[in-house]
Amino acid sequence: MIGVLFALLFAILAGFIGSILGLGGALILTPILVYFGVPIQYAIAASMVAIIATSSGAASSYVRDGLSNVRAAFYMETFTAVGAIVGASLTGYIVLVHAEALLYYVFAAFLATSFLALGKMRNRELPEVNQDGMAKWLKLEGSYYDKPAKKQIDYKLTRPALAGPGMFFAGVAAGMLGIGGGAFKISVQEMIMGMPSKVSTATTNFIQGMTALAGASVYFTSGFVYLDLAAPLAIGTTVGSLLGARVLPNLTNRTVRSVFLIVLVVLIIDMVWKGMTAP
Amino acid sequence: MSVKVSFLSLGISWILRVGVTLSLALESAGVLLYCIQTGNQSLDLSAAWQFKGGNFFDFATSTVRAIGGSLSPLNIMSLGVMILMLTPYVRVIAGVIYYGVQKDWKYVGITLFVLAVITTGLVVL
Repeated sequence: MIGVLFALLFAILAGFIGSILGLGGALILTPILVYFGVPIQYAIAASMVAIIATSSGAASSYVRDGLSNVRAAFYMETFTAVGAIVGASLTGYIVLVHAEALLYYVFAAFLATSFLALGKMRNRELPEVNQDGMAKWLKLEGSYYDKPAKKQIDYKLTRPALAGPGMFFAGVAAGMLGIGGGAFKISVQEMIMGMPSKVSTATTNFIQGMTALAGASVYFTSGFVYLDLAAPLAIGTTVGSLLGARVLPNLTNRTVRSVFLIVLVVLIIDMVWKGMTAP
Repeated sequence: MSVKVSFLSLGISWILRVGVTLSLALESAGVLLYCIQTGNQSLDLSAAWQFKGGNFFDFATSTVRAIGGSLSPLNIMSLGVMILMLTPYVRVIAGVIYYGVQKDWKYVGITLFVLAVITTGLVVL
């Protein structure tokens, strides 16, 4: 089994990377835990708790700095929370009908689409957005101080009606797989709503904890939560996320998006692989 | 240098900060005690550390009850994890209250809906 100190160290790393990229860190945590012999359900359950730690740790800074868009987050949580519960409830059913492979391919295809779309925007520091009626009605806009550019950036968001179903899908992915929810959320926010990369990362971090919480109860009821695993991981990801939150404001949107594109490739390969090896 | 953020953002940031600090302190104390008391520095995933039998609110109530009984590493860790998990929940409640005071009914509806969904998830699932 894993040593406490070791668990702490890689959790710090997971929290650090997660808070910069808007991924809860489960993407890193779950495979490492499984590698060291922790059964997958327990690994996912502990990662869920660790995601909440990353989210709250990072968002405590991002929200204060205006980097997380709180309004947009609340709007999108209506969809991700429902999605997470649907996803968590469906997991058993999907296994029952042997549709896991199909599921992984659908998620991989979605991520591949966002890779292509975001790849095209790779060199753009800020998106150009024509705000639609509904976005105006919901007052989806914001501003943040951009450290690399040394100025305040005012931005507007658009197409919330289309982003809603996308966010629902992201919630389903998070609830079902325990990983990858962040990548979906970031993709939807940037591709559909025209959110700047850093705001997208910070907002996803903020939402993430809520989505994880919505799905987490299932794991409690099923007896998958081991506190001696969850607690050290939560400590590590909290510390890592507090460190990461100091780094993100100093990066340009372009850098954040480029690193995210690399992670997308890893995720797509992972999903296709899981699809191919699913029973 | 930063932009002016709303009172809600400052409030939420404060809630997250308090939640994170409290849970971090309790979890660390729990893990440290665990290592000292058991002399064990690896995670053994034994049944004693597994939470079984109930939803999140059952976990929360049994944790609060247990911590009154004894300050064992398990109970301290449980309390830390419980506070950690309640943190995002509390910030949604803060959202409902803030938008209510602002009479921003659109967002009162949105935050209330999120609160209802999460509560359902925690109680029913």
